[in-house]
Amino acid sequence: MRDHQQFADDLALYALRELPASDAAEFREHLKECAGCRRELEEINSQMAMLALSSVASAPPQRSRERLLQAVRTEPQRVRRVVMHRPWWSFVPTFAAVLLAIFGLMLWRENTSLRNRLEATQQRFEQQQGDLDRARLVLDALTSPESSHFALVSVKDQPVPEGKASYMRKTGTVVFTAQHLPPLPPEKTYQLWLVPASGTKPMPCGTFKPDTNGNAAMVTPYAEKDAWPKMFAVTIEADGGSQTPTMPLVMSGS
Amino acid sequence: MSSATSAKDHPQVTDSMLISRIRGGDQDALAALHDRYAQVVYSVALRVLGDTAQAEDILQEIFLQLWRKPETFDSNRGSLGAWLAVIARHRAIDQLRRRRPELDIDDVIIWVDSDLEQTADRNRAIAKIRSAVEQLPPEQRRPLELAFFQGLTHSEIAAKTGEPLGTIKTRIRAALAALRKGLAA
Repeated sequence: MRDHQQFADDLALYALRELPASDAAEFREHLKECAGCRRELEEINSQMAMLALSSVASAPPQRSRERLLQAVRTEPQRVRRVVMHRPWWSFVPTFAAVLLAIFGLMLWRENTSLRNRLEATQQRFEQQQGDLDRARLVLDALTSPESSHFALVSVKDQPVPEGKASYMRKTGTVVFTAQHLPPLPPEKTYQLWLVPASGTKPMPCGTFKPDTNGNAAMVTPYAEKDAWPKMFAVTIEADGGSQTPTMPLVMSGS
Repeated sequence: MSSATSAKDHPQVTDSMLISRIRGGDQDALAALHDRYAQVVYSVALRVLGDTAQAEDILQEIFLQLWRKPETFDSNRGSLGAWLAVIARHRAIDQLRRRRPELDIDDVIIWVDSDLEQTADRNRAIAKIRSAVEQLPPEQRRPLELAFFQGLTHSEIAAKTGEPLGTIKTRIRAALAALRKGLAA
């Protein structure tokens, strides 16, 4: 890095543009910070201007003026457009276009918002429709004259779990509620079974786990249709359920 | 009557006014500045290049640049005539050295005591400057002119004249200072 004196010594070289590009760039950086060198450079430039002016003698060919004006006429009109004072009404089309663009943007945003609200409403409607269907199934299973109802009690005296299972043959819907169920061992679940009157093997009707108070409720909308249950029973099975009941029965009812 | 004729006939139309009109796209203002300073630019370029066609090209190039970027020259940066003279020299040297023009010409700030806007004053100033240059000692004037008009580096001048490099540097600085002093007298 050069010091101030080195820059000062080479000011004439810089003014004469003798310095290599890298040195000249370094020089320009120094000039930004050094008022003394800037003043000295202005002085040298002025002296060089005088030297240049000392050579003024020859007039250029007459055609040079027309050549310049011809070239200017073929130039893009950029300069004129930028600085000309335009009448106020010349901005009307631009203003109208901007307004139109803003209005279009507002419409687009409104449209997007309405579409989003419509989709949300449709989702809510479908969810409510599903809830309604499910409630209707439960109600049918509990109130239909075609339903048969079973009360389940513990096979032992203590504790005394109780359960109620309702089965609708037409749809195969099973609704089951239970109370006083003992807590399950880890990785175990209760499983409800429909035991057919025909003596065939018990049909699984879903698994469930009680809450901390020992209560449980389960709806199996599409269990086996048209079965003639002899009884319903509950067993404890491994998580995920089983295809055949594991003894002993927790409770059963016919 | 065109604006150019108006500017030529009324020297009170200053360079700054003409530059301002060029910013507004006034071609007549550019023609007026050309009338005023084409001889300065052309003479300097011709002195450096020694070729009329190339000097005319430099003249064209510089005035076209003034048309395209009139903001390149700011009247706060000094005299337009002096600025054009130095820019003409730099462009001609670039041409001589076959190198691309540098873009930082706008950092050239030049104040001169003489009024160059009006023809009579300009001619008087040029005669005075020429006299000052002729009065420089030959050992100072020669390296200065070799550097300024022929674009020789200080090292090339030292090799050409057989003088030490440091001496060349000193003499060129001394010549420039003497020039200033001679004009101030």
